[in-house]
Amino acid sequence: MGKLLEQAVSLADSLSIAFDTPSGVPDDEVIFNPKRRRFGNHDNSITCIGTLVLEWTRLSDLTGNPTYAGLAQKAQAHLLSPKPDTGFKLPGLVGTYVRLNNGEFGDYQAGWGGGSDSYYEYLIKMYAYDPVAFAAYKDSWVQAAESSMQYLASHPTSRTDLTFLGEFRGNSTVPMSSHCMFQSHRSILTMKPLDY
Amino acid sequence: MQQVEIVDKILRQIAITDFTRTAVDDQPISLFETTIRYLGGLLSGNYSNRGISMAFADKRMQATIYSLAPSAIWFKTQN
Repeated sequence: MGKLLEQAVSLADSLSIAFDTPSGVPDDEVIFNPKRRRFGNHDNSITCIGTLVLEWTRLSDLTGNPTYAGLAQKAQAHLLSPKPDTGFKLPGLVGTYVRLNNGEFGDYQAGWGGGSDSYYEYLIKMYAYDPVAFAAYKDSWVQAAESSMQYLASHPTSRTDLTFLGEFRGNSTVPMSSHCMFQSHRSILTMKPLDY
Repeated sequence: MQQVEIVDKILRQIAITDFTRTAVDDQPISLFETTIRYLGGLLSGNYSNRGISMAFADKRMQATIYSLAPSAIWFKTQN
């Protein structure tokens, strides 16, 4: 094993304690010393939960140790099949904060802004990484993209030629956009794995 | 790129860094940030080794880098 990979293993082994929660949804903060422990947050965002799976899966594939992929994919499963499902109004678009004790969403703020964005990014990256193993991730991404085009797309009255993606809060859309350059970048990235 | 000295310094620093401790006790670190920047960086560096022969003309430098980071994926993707 090369030194870089050896150090990646050492780091991941230390970080793994973050996943030691009742639901398997990780605490975003860990403390290494003097005693290794998780910080004790009660919830975590889908960005922080859903932007681990590529690195942790890759580490398992390189080392042959399935533990790392298992931890990240178990956490990801809570986002792919959101609970409670009654509150989720736009298919594929999930809320932002998940409780560590039961893996349930605590809100319905949906969109592609900070706190959510890279969860969606990693869905399609995982499909690009392994289209067979992560076909369900792609289905979720396509659902989210279709819901976004249908419900979140918004055109400023002064520039109807421009399209922004708004946010969904509770029961209504909010014409507020962040990370918009990011979004076009991600959509373009998606063309290749989906063969558009 | 040919930035031999910079890359050499980075690789040597990684080799001697203790990734199981923080400099200060009770310092919370973010799983998300550490994963995408540190873990992702280590895994990407591992992958980039296959580009080293193109980036570094100096054969001795190539040998040094390979000895520090001879990744499985490098050997696999060379076939």
